[in-house]
Amino acid sequence: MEATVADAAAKPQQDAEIVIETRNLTKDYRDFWGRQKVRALKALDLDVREGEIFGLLGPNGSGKTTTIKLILGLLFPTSGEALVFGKKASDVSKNERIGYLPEESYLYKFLNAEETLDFYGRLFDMTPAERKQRVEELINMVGLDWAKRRQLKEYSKGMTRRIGLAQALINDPELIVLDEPTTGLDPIGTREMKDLILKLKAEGKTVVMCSHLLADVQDVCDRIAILYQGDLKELGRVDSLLKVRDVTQIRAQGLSDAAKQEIEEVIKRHDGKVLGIENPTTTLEELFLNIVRESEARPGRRATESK
Amino acid sequence: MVLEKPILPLLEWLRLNLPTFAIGLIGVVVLGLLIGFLAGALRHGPMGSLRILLQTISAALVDFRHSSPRRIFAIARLAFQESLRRRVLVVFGVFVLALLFAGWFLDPSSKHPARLYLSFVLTSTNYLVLLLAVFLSAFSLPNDIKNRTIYTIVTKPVRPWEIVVGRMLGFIAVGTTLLILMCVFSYFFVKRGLQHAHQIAPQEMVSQTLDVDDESMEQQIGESSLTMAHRHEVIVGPDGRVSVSNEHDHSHGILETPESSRDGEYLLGKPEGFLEARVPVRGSLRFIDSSGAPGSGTNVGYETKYRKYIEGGSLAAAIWTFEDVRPENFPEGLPIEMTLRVFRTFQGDIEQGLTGTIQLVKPALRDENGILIGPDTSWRSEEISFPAQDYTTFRRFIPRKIEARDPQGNEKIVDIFEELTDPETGAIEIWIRCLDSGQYLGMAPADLYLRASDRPFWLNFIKGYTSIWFQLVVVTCFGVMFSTILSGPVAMMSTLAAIVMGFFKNFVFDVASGELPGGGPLESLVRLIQQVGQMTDLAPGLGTTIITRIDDVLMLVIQTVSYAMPDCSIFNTSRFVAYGFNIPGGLMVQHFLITLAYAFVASIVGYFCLRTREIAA
Repeated sequence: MEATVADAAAKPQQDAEIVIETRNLTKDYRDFWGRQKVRALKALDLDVREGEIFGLLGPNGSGKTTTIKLILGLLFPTSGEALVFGKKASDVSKNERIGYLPEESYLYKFLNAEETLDFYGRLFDMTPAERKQRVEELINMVGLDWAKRRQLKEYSKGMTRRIGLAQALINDPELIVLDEPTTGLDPIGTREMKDLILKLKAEGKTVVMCSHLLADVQDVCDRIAILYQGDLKELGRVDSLLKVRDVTQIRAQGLSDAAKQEIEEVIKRHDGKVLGIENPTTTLEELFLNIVRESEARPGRRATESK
Repeated sequence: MVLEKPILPLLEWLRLNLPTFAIGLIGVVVLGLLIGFLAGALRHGPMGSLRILLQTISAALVDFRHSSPRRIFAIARLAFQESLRRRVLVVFGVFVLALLFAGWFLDPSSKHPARLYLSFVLTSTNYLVLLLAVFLSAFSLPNDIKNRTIYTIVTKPVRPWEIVVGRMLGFIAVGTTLLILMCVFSYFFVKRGLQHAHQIAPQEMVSQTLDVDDESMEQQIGESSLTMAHRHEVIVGPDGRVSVSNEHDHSHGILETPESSRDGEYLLGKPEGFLEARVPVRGSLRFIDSSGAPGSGTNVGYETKYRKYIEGGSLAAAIWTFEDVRPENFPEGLPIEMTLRVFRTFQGDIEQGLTGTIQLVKPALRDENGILIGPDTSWRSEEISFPAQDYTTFRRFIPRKIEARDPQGNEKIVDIFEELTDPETGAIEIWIRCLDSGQYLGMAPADLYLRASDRPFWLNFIKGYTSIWFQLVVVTCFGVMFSTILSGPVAMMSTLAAIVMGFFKNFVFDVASGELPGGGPLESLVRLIQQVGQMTDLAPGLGTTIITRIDDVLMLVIQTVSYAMPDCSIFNTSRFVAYGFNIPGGLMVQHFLITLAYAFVASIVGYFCLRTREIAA
């Protein structure tokens, strides 16, 4: 595992295998008479390389979900084509290596967790013993062992999402497509989802996700594409896109007030502009998770204002 | 029992129907290609459409090659679980309730209680199961598409036809389970419903003197107690043997005699003869009219031409010819059974009934019109009289040795198989005449037969339910097929429409061929509005010509569609079971092949519809 991760990092991105490729992908929604109603996607040219986490960003109605559905074969393109693993999107055999988590999980409510995963597992080429093992593994991984015999109609949204994710991973796919993975989840669920996505990347898998939650995309994605009203507005690596070129950020610990004064003078001497010297804030997410962890260790009201 | 068309032996049926099936299949394929091409041409132009068509077909072949029974089974299993959790057993509960209430409403004083009970359970099961099949199959896939649960399935390596066939198999499994439950339940319901007993005390019987062969013998005769609105006549013969008369389609054996019973009475045991599965040997029928010349039977004025009548008190006769009547098949003699109709021109004595005669005749050489070729070399047996009651089955066993007259007119006792049957073909003629002048006896070819042997009733019962199973399969397959492109309620209506169209196939053909007066749909509408009767011609003119031409086109379309639809009424063998006739195995095989054909075509059509459908649109 370790060697693979190192290799993946060392390989220059351009040589990595292209997993998804769209050429001139266009989708028009027509009304009954064949007249064009909505141009959902305009000539999209995109490629996703092996081992990266690719994010599709955009406001509601920008064509993110449409792109995903076109890639998976749920929609037929008006023109252009989408290729996955070199095969056409309508070729069902490519699905052997894909896992898909739809926007609302869309699972059969009358089955319980075990039966759901068992059913989806049967649709793949696995021996019954293998399938049984994977079902158990995945239920434990998403932390639903305590509810595995309950029918899905009794599940909360977070639980449904987790089973949906388990279903997407049942066949140990090379490409995982996630439609709005963190939308609607609480901070803990969101953190777990993001951790999982990063873990999948560490295993060498390719992840394509679409979302309108910018912070979550920033945390996990390597490359992003920003869509607006069907047009591709921006495409590139997250770190390079977000880097603010002009500003330098220094983080140091244990500085006295005198030290801070001296650093300010050094900056001024070099004709730099001090934008600010203050204590950085942690994120609200970190605070929230810390409180949750502490609460689990020590239940009850908080004693006093600790800070 | 009415048998409109004779049951063809399997090979002959195959020879007749296989070409029709092949033509129909080619027609469906061509139609499908045409529709696909036209639909594609609208969007992508003719060349593009052709390319897409070829792509679809080659992709289809690849799909079929990569099909997996494991996946089909997974989807079938899912369909089964879905149906169970949708409380499908409620249907079974309704059935049980219906049966329990029926016990009150079925008329126990009916003259044919077995027929009543059997046709009730078979018909109610039939309708319930078919209704269930329609609801299950028509709504499942559209619900999946509406709730988008299908997203997680089509994004797995599942071929569209596996989805279609898997669903079909799943629903058939549900229907089969329910059918088996209903079959078992119905069997015991029928047995219990027909169960009854009678008693008779020796004191209630009177002595009767019999003169047999110049000897006077005494026998006791009496009437049993009244149960289920009938009594049996009980005769204790001089030798002590007890015989019970046949009433309401059954008789009884003796369970207890006065010596063995506690209350000193005869106890009549379980009813016998209610539940049987006779194997009839049928023959061909021809008629002789009242002047003695070959004729075609008299039409007494009924609309249906199923039965013809012979005039009583004249030379008119109905002649059945049976082939292959040999001592191996009928070692002791000929068991004749017949159910004739009676048509009276004056009332006479209704209770007595008419009298007819049976005569066994050796077939003489005749041409196809029934006219004698050469001298009449027939041996004729004595004329055996029998009572002819309307709607009643009369059984008579003709023993092997019988009195007969040779062509010269000398009387002898002969063996049926030696003198009265043709030595080569084993053919024998049975002549039926009516004695009462002014009255008529009616018969159809299926009304008289030789009762070859009996098969077990329970087997016949199961065969009757298997026929319902065939209907279940056809309806389910059509339901799933329609549900691949139509929404739930529309798919349900389409399936029901298909069943109805198949049911009225013969009617549609008769209208299209002009045999039924009154014209097609448009003409009938005009006649309705103008209040013109069916037999009157419409006023000639441009309007009428236009209407008739449009009707021709409409009828052509309706006829073609009806032709392809399954005629569920042909699958209905409940009257065989109810009337106590064995359902021939060959017939079951024919029905099975028809079912298979429909299932196959429905799967293919369903596959293409699902494949070309944009799931997420």
